[in-house]
Amino acid sequence: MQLVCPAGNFASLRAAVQNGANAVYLGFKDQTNARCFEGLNFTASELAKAVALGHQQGVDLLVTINTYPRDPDRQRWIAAIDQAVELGVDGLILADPGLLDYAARHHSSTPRHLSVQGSVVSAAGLHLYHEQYGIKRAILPRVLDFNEIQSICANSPVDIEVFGFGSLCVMTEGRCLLSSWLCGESPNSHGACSPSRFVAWQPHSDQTLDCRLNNVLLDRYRPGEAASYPTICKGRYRFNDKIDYAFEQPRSLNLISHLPRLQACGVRAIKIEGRQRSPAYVASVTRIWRKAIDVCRAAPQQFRPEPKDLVELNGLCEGLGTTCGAYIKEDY
Amino acid sequence: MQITLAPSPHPWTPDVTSAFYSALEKAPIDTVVLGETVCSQRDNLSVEAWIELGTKLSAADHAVRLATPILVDSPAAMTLTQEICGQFRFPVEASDTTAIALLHAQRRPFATSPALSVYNAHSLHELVRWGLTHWCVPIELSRSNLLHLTTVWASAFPGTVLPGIELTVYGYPMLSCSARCFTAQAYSRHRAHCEQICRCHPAGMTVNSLEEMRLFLINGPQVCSGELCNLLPCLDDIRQIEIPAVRIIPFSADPAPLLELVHSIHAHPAPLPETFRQGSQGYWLGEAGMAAPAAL
Repeated sequence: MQLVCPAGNFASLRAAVQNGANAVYLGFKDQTNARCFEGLNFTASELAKAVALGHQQGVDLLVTINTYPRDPDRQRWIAAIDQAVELGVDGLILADPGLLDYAARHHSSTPRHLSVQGSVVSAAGLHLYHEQYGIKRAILPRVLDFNEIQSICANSPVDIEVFGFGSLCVMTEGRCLLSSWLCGESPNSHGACSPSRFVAWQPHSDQTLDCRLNNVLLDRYRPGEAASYPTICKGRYRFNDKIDYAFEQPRSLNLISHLPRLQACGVRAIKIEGRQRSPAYVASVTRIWRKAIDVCRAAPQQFRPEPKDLVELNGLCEGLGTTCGAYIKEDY
Repeated sequence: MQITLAPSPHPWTPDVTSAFYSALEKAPIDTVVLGETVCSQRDNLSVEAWIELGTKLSAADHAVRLATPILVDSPAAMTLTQEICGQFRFPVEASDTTAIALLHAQRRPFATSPALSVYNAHSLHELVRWGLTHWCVPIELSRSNLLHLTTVWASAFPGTVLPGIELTVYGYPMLSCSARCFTAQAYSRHRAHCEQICRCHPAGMTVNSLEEMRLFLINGPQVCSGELCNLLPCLDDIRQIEIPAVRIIPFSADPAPLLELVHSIHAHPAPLPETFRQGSQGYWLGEAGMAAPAAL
């Protein structure tokens, strides 16, 4: 199993490379990727340096160009693909069928991975994309359990990559419009969920803290309560005669204890979420998961994550702890 | 202008479903899309029963399509998708790439629901290569983007006819879908043991902000807009830019308001009744989806 780690900047890239990532995924500084936030991502010259470092250390560089262009602006996405290939990246992570077609026809020797944003959840869908675009790998949306993933791995013509750690989307990736409903920008359209310029924090004299997105109240924190970056799916609302998290609590995904299961499923790569997280996060998460994958490969039956590693990972999680999400549907 | 009725997203019983569509047999609706697209655990009609219902509607001069589940995230959803794609009585409206893959493998033409992320001419062309003949525009796509798409199509694919275009103009569209059932969760139940609790909320469960602003409707594993999306006041323009078909999402088990709405559309150029002039148009106008016309 490969370990695929996030890099929102060069320091995080270095942290991933130095701590044992097999591959690092990153994006350009624009809306061609689904983490288009201020201060994140790479210019072309930074990507050139990233490729040089990665190749020197034997680490693959994967560029995410996984948002959906709208006419008449598609040329920006085409330029991003051309630029990434010219810089010698090891793979393109794409979602839009038109872009996959372009990359397959014009840059056939650069591997194409189907992004989680492509929202393909079945072996049948993967066969279609493999047949049409020669994809080598697909990242599965976080709506499938271990049994379903195992079945897909057994019937897939391509390698399967799944998220193992980090912030969790509870809605199917590539098809979520909650952000654009409130503020006009979504991961699909602008590469951002809850863009920061629409976010406002309002402290009150009673020490409560309101969090708003485009002036809509998403949560109200009690004095001393830990606050997370606001996303609509993790807000608290009034519904069914109560006030609570209507969709999901602010929790992180953590599948490290289930590595033997993922290995048995036939998963080829584990993806760590967190391009918007710090280099320290990337360093710690990469180090812990690298060790876990190597130990599990050697002796899956005996594998147990070390307690101190679990404590460290919990400390890096957002909000209220961790979950296995849809991977275990009995709890879902 | 052609009118399509989208599949009902509501957790109706088989009796309510049958009664609803029976009441529409004489309605001036060109195409009726049938099927359980939200949750394969819902105890609604079987595929055979949908086909029987569709046959009656077809005999009453409606075109009929059968739609597949929006998210194939379980063996039950896969089985339902395979059954719909395996029947040949009616054309299929694919709501997920799984269905597209199955239909493409059969070399069979298909329609796509608005739930598929197709946002530009080149991607639309890919789906046309795979067999798409009828495209329902994603909810998020603006008027400007749609017009640019048709312009790019004409220049990039001269000689290739655009698929039929259908625009959602009325209803509470899906904004997201999940493997989790949010209705069940609201009752502290897991989806596997939901006991069809969604039937207690036949029009969806309202989700308000803590300031009582109505935001969303929970419909099982889907989150829908809490505000009505309504492009009916823009119908003159929609006709003028030659969109051939408009789509209405069923919003009530009572067929009467739907019938009134459909007759109002056909009564053009008579003005729309005030009842049908309310709602948001944000996405169409390139703004936040919930933006009301007064705010734009």
